Amino acid sequence: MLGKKYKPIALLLLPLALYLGLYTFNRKTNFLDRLATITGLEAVGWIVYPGQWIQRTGQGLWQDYIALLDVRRENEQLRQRIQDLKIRAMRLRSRADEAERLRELLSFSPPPDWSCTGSRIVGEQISPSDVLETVTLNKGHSDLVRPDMPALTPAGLVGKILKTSPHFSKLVLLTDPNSRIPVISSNHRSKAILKGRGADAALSLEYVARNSPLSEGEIVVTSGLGGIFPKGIPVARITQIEQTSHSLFQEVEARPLVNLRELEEVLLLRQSRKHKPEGLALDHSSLLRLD
Amino acid sequence: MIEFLWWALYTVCAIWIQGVIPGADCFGPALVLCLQAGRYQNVIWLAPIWILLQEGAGSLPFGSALLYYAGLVYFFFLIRAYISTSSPMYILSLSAFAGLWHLGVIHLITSLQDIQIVPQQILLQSARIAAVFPVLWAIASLIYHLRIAPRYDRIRSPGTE
Repeated sequence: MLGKKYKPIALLLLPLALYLGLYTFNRKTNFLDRLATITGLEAVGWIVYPGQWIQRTGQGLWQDYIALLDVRRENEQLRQRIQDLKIRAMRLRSRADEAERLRELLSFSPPPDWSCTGSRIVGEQISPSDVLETVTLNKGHSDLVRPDMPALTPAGLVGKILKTSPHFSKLVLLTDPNSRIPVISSNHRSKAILKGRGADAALSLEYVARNSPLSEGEIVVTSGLGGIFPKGIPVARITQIEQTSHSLFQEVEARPLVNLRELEEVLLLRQSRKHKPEGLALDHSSLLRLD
Repeated sequence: MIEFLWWALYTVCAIWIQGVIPGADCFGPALVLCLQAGRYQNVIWLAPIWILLQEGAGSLPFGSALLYYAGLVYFFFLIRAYISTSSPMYILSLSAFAGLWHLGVIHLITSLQDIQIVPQQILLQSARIAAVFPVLWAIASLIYHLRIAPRYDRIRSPGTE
C-alpha cells in the first residue's frame, strides 16, 4: 500500500536524479551540446532547406497567381500571357534583387587581417528551445565557420555565430538580450556597450557618462575592444538620448542599421591571422556572451 | 515499416511546420499519440531523435527539450488515473500543461545558465504551444488511426475499463 502511494514520487525522483546527472555531465564536458548540434542542427538544416524553397515558391505562386485569378477572368488568352510574363518578371526581379544584394556583398572589403565569406539564412526560430534571437545559416564548420565569428552586411553588423554543425550554423542577432557589443560613436568618439533588448525593442547604449557628448542620428561603430569584432563596423544609429537626474549615465536608445527582419544573406568575417585587440580587452564584458 | 515511414514523414513535416510557426512544438502531440496507442517502442526510438533535433536547432544549452518531454510523459501517466484518455478534457489538460511546462522549463534553464530572455516572447511561445497542441494531435491522430494503425487499442484509464 505504502509502495503504491509513493510510486509516483519515486517515478519522479529517479528520472529527475538521472536528468541532473546528465545536466551536470554536460555542463562539465559539453558532450551533449556538441552531439545535439552535430546531429540535430545538421538534420534540421537539411530538412528546412528544401522546405524553405517550397514555402517561398508557394507564397510566390499564391501572391502572383492564385490571388489574382478573379481579376484575370475576362480574357483567358491574355491572362495566360500576363501570367507567363508575371512569373518571368517575378523570377527576373528576384534574380535582379539577389544580384544586387550579392554585388553589394562582393563589393564589401573586409578590414585588414580579416577575410569574409557569404552565407544564406535558411531558417529562423525552428525549435521551441530556440528562445534567443537567432537565425540558421547554410554554412558550418566544414566551411571554416566557427563560434564567435562576426556576421554583417554592407549596411552594418548583424551579430555573431553561436554554434556550428558540419554544414549549418546558428547566428545570434545583435538584438538578443544577451548581446553586448563594445561600440564607439562615429563623431564624438564616446565609448559605450550596445545591448540588445529583444526583436521589437530598440537597442540600448549602456555606460555612457553624463558628460559624454553624443547626438541623435549619430552612428555607432564597433570599438574593437574584446577582440571578437573588428574595429569600425557600423552597428546602429542613435535615436533617443535622455539625461536622467537619478543616474550617472545617459539613457540612450539606438536602432540597428541592418533590417534584421528582411535579412537573407550575411557575410561572415574570419580573422586571417591572430589579431591582437586594440586597447584593453574587456573579456568580462565580452560580446554576446551566452554562458 | 509503414509506421517507420509515417514517423519519418511526420518528423520532416513537423520541422517544416515549426519553421512556419516559430516556437511551436510538433513533437509533443506525437509523443502523446504514441503513448495513447500503447506504442512504447516507438517512444523509445523517437523521443531521443526528437530531443536531439529540438536541442540541436535550439539556442539553449542541452537540457530544455529533454526536461520538457520527460515532464510531458510524466504528466501523461499522472492524469491518466484521473481523466479518461478518450475524453477531450484529457488532451486539453495535456495542452495546457505543455504550455505551462514549456514556460517553466525555459525559465528554469535560462536562470540556471544566466541567460536573458524576453518574458513576453516566451509567454507568447507557451500560448502557441498550448494552442497548437490539440490541433496537431487531432490531425496526427486522425491520420494515424485511419491509415497507419486502424486496429490499434486505446489505452484506457483504470476508471473506464
